[in-house]
Amino acid sequence: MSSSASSPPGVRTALDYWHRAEVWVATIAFGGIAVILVYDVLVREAVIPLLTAVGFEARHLVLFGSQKIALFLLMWGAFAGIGIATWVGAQLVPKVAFKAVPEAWNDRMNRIADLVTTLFLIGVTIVASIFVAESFQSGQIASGGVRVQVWLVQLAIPVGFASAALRYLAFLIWPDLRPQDGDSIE
Amino acid sequence: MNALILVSLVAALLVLRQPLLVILLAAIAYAQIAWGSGHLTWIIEDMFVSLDKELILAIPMFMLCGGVMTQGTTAKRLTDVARALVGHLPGGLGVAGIVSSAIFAAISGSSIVTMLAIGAVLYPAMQEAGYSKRFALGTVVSGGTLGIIIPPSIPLILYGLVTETSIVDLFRAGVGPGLLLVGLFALYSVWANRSMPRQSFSWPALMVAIKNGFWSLMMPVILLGGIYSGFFSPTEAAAVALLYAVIIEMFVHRELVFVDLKGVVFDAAKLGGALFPLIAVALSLNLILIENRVPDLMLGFVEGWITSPITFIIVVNLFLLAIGAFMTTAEAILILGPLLAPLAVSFGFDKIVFGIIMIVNLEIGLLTPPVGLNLIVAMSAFREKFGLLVRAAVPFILLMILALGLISFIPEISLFFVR
Repeated sequence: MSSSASSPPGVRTALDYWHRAEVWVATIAFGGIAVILVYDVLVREAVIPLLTAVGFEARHLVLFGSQKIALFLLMWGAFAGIGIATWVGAQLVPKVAFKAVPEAWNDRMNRIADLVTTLFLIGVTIVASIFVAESFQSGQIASGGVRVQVWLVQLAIPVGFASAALRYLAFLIWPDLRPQDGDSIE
Repeated sequence: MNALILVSLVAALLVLRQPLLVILLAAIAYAQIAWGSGHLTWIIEDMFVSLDKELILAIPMFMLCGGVMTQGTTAKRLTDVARALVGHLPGGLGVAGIVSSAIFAAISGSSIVTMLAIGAVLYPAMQEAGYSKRFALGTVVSGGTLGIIIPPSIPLILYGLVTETSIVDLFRAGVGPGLLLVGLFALYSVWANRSMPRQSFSWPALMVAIKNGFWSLMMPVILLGGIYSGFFSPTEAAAVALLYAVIIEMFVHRELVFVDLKGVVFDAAKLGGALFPLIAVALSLNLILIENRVPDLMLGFVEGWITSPITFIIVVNLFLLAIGAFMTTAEAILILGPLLAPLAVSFGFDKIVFGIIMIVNLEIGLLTPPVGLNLIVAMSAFREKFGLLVRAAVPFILLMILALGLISFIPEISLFFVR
């Protein structure tokens, strides 16, 4: 388990493209949230009172269900982010028990860790897919002023976990793809 | 027996170097199988429902806002104002560092962002002015920690979410302890540098600094003023702050171009990708804990050992200080917040005050090895040795422990701005 081949260039390229696609999804989602919330506040707190004061009816400018749309975007941005955080090494990994095994075993331990994570995330992907399939069959519509089929939003969950599982599988097969420790949130 | 298996499972996953996301999900799945209905799809449903909260939207907004300001010159302008204002005091540059960190913290909501933004300007300036490297580093890394106690603060939002506490009240409660820490740090700076040559105070220099930094200084006024006056919710305030930051940095300071925004959004997506699924999982864990009356069971267990609130808070503080040395702030809040907050309430502590106590403990954890994140980031950002950074932080850690004691036993420090 300790010896490993370096990754074929095609694999890194393919994963890089997948990463870029996820970055775009997240960028659109987070940028979209910012635009929607800023628009919402501006229109409600500034534009409408101003236009009303000078005699214009401006209630149609309100984006109904704006918070809900922003939350749906957050869902896609957040779960696209699992893959992004995995690829750039920004997943939070508690290091409290890292010294439980000798340092010489580090590479081996990392591969065992990647194997366990891969299997676990595949399991989560399956459970999440069942959940989305049930939601699809029930035809449930979102509440909060946005008439969207809920499964379209929920789909972000299995896709995000599957993407992360794929990354960990790649790290398991080609450890040179494994990122160094990344950022954290404080 | 089931509890023992759960603890063993978590311990095994920690040894197996699993991401926190996996550890939490595995713990929830086990709890659902052992104590719940066994429907694993309900965990996913809980995750979905947990993220469906308007308040969560404040977090990406503050992340984006912090990113925009780090790219621009807000930190430099704030530091210039603080230097012109308090630079004439003994240890004035140190005081300026603390004051500018505090003002920046009132915008950013993050410890690392505050430390990097202010430290990049102030650390070289302090060295140039003859301050010891140790003191300068201590000021910068400790000043950065103010980012998570002075509102707005992402850890305070997380605590509010997992314990269902008003985030506006938590933001209000953070002001008193934040000012206490600023006061203690500033006094220490004056005392530690009492023999340093002093600069003379200059009104014209202060006026110029205020003129240049006016738009940056208005940021915390708009942000916190909007929240505290009830004009904006925290989410709306975060959106306004982001818009304001973009306008100021792009069109007034002209330090940011449109292309830079993509990098800012990418960084937010990266951090959000690590954080939001965790929030969803932690909130769904919270639901399972409540359904299975785990806080009540824990209370029964703890009451068998501890009866006095004073003993309780001392034990919890020592526990959190130890945890802070090994876990990051977000991890500790998401896991321990839902478990400890009900215990604290049952011992007569206000949930808001306990949130502040928890954050101050974890704030100290940012400066204690081995996982003192401010130390780790400072090591690469300022290219200094870890040992030096640890020694530099020691006097500030002692001051923070003093502040923690005061905050723990005098709730009015936190509640003064809440009531």
